[in-house]
Amino acid sequence: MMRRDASRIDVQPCAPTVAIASSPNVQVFLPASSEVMGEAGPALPPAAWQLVSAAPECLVLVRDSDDADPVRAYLIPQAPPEAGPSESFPDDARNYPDYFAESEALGVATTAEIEPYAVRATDTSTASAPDDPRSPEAPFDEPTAPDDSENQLLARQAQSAPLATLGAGIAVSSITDAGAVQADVAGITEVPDSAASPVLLVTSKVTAGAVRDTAVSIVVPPAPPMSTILPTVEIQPSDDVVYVMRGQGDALRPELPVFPSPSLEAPQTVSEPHPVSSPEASARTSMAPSEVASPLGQWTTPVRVPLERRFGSFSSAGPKAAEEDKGNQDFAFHLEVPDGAGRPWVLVGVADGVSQSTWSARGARHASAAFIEAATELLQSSAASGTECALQGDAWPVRFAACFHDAVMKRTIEDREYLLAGRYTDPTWTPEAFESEFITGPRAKENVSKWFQSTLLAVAMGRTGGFGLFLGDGFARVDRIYQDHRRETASVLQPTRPVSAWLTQQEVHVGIVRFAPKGARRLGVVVTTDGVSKSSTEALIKAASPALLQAPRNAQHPLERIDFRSSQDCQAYLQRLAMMSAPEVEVDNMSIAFVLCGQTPDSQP
Amino acid sequence: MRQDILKKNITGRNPMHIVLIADDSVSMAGEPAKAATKAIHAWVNELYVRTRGKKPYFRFSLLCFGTHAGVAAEALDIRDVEMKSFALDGTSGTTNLAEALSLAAEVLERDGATADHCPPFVFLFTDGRPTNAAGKATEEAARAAIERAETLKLLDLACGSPFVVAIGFGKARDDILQQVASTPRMYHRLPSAQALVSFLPEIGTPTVEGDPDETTVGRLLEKVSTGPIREA
Repeated sequence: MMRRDASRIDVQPCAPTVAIASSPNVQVFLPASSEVMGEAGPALPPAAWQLVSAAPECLVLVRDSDDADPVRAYLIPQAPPEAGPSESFPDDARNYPDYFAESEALGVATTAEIEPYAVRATDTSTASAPDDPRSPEAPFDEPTAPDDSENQLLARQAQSAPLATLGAGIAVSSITDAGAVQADVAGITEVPDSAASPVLLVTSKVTAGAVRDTAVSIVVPPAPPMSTILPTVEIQPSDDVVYVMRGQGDALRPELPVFPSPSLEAPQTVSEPHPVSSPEASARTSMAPSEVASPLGQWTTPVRVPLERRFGSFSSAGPKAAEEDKGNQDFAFHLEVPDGAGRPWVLVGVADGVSQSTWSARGARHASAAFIEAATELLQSSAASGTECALQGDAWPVRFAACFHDAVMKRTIEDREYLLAGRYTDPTWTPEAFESEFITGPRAKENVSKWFQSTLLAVAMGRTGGFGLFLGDGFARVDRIYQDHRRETASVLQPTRPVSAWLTQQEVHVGIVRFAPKGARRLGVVVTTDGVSKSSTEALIKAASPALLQAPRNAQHPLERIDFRSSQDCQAYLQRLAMMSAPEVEVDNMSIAFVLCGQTPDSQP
Repeated sequence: MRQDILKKNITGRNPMHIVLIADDSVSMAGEPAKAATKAIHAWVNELYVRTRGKKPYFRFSLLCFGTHAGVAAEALDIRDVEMKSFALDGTSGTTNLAEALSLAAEVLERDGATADHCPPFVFLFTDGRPTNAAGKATEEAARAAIERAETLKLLDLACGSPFVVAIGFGKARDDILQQVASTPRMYHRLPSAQALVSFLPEIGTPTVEGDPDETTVGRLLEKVSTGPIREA
C-alpha cells in the first residue's frame, strides 16, 4: 500500500469524472471541466498513452486551458487503496453519473481503483516550514507504514530532494513551472531541472499532463515470446543428419570447385523415402544432434530431406571487439513449415538489431517471429499457395505485407508496454542514458522510432519457387541451377527501410521479392547481415574453406562465390571470419542463413 | 590515405580522440558565446548518447583560446565530461589561433593513443582573424596559424595523423581556415554562431541517417567533408 507524503503539496479532494482511456492496470481520468470533454477519444498522444498505461501507478496532471491554477492531479494506484481520504469525497462512483456512464462505455473499472486529489503546486521555500499544515508532521493520508520496497523508494526520493513527493516512486520536481512552460506544447518533454528526479510530463492540446514513476530497474527481462513452430513432420534422428555426423557428409562437401552435381548430392543412404509425417510432433522441441543451435534461441529445425531441401543458419557475435561492445544483437533462424496442402516450405532469415536503437536484440527476434507468423499464415491459408503459380498473383503480397505489419507492430507494442511496466532498462545502455533517451528526455518521443529497430532478410522457399522479405541492409543473393548444371547467381538486395515502430505497410510491401525458378531445377537464396557482407573481399574469401568456394566467374560480391551446405558450414565460416582482425573484417555481429530447394534427379517434376 | 583507417570502426577497443578548439575571444561575447556553449553541450550529449552511456568510444578534449590558449578538458572519456558548469563568455582576449593549434598537437601527443585507436579529429570554430601574441591580426599571425595547423596534421601518431575540421563565421578568414583544415572541403562557413547549435552536433557525431550503426572513421570523414544535408 502506498504512503503519501503531503509535506509539500496542498491536497484537496477532487472528483473523478471522465475516463479517457484504460488498460488492465491503470485508468486515466480527466475532470469534467477539462476541455477534453469535447474531444473524441483519448486526448493523450498514442506514444504518451503507452507510457502512462504501462505504469503500474501513475499520476495524471490536468490543467484547464483557461484555468492556470491549480494543477489537478490524480494518483492512480495499481491496487485499490486500503484506506484513504474517502471521507473527503464520495466513495460511490454512482454519485457521478457522467463518469459512471462514460466509464461503462469505455469498459473501465469503478472508482474503487481511483484516488483523486487536487494538487496545488506550492513555493518550495514555504513548503517545509515547521508550522506549515502541509509539513510531514501533518500527514493527510492513511498512516499505513510503507513496506520495505516503498521505504527504499522513499529514501531514494529523499536523496534526490524533489519539490514534492507523491506516493511510492513518484516524485514531482516543479509542477508549476512545468505547467506554465508546457501549457501549449504537445508531446513529451522533460520537466525542466528534473534531472535528479526525472519526471515525464505529457501535454496534449488541452494541457493534460501525466507523470509516471521513473524508477527503472536494471533487471534483464526474459526474451520476448517467439513463434511456435507449427507441427510439421515427425522429427527423428533422421538419416540425413546422422550421416552428416558420421562423416558421410563429405559427399555434401565435394572437393570440387563448382557446385556439386545432383548425383553427388544424393548418397544412397538418404535416397530412401522419409518417415511418415506425424502431425503431433513439434519441431520446436526436438533438435537433431548435429544441428547448430542459434546462440539466440533454439529456433531451428533439422534438415530432413537434404536432397531436395538444404537449409541452415548461424548467428555469431563476430569479432571480439563487437562481442565486447554489444554482445550479439543479430538473430538467425531456419525451419520447415507445411503449407495448406502439407507441402514443406523452408523459412530462413537473418535479422540485425540496430545498436544505436534500444532493445534491438529483441527487435531482431520480433522481426523474425513476425515473418514466420505471417509466412505461415499465408502458406497455410490456401492449398494452392504452395505453388509458384499462386505466387504470381498480385493479391498475396498485399495480404502478406498487412499480415507481417500487423504481427510486428503487435509484438513490438506489446513488448514495449511490457518493458515499460517492468521498468526494464536495456542492458546495452546505462540506466541514466536509457532513461534520458527513451523515457523522460526531450527526445523520448521521437526516439520511439528507435525501439526494436532491426533489419530483416527472410525467405520462404517451396519446391518450385518462393518469396522473400528484405527490410534494411545486408546481403542477399539468388542461385538458379539448371538441368545442365549451369548456374546463375545474382545479388538482389535493394535499399529498403528496416523494421521499426514507424515502418508502414507500404514499406513492407516494397520489401517483398518473389523468387521464380525461371526454368531452373533448383532455386536457392543466401542472406547475411551487413557484419558479414561489409567485410573485405580478402577476408570473405579467406574465411571460406576450399570446399565452399566456387570459381570466381563474374561475381560482383565475394559472397556470391561461397556455398553453404549446412548450419555447421555457416558456423565454421563465421568463426573463421570473426578471428580475423579489423579493418579486414567488419567489427559487427554476423549472421548467415541459406536455403536451396528444388528437384533432384530422382524426384518427379 | 590508408583504406584500413577509413574502415576502422569506433568501438571500445578502437576509441577516437576528439579535440574541440573553441574561440573565446572578445568578439564572441554575448549571444555568440551563448550559442557556442549550447552547441558544445549538445555535441557532447550526442557523443555521449553514441556510447549508450557504457562504452569508451570517445576521448574528448576541449581547448579554449583568446590571447592565449588553455585546456578546459583533456582526453576525458566522453562519459565523464561534465558540461553543465562550462560556458564560453568571450572574455579571453584576441584570437591566437596558432597557439591553440600548437596546444592541440601537444594534447594529442600526450594522449598516447595506440595503433588500435582511431585517428583523432580536431574541430575548431572561430569568428575572428588570427592574431599574434600581442593581439594584432597580422599576416604573420595568419601564416603562423597555417604552419601550426600543418604541424598538427602531420603529427606522427600511432593511430594515424589527426584530421582538422574548421568552422568559421563572423569575421573569420575563409582563405586561412581552408588551409588550416585538412582539406578545403573540411572547412565550413556558417552564417552565425547560432548555426553552430545544430551544425556542430550534426557534423561532429559519427552517425548516418538510415544506417545508424555505421560508425567508421571514413563515415565521419565523409560527413565533415560534406556537411549535414540541409532541408530545402
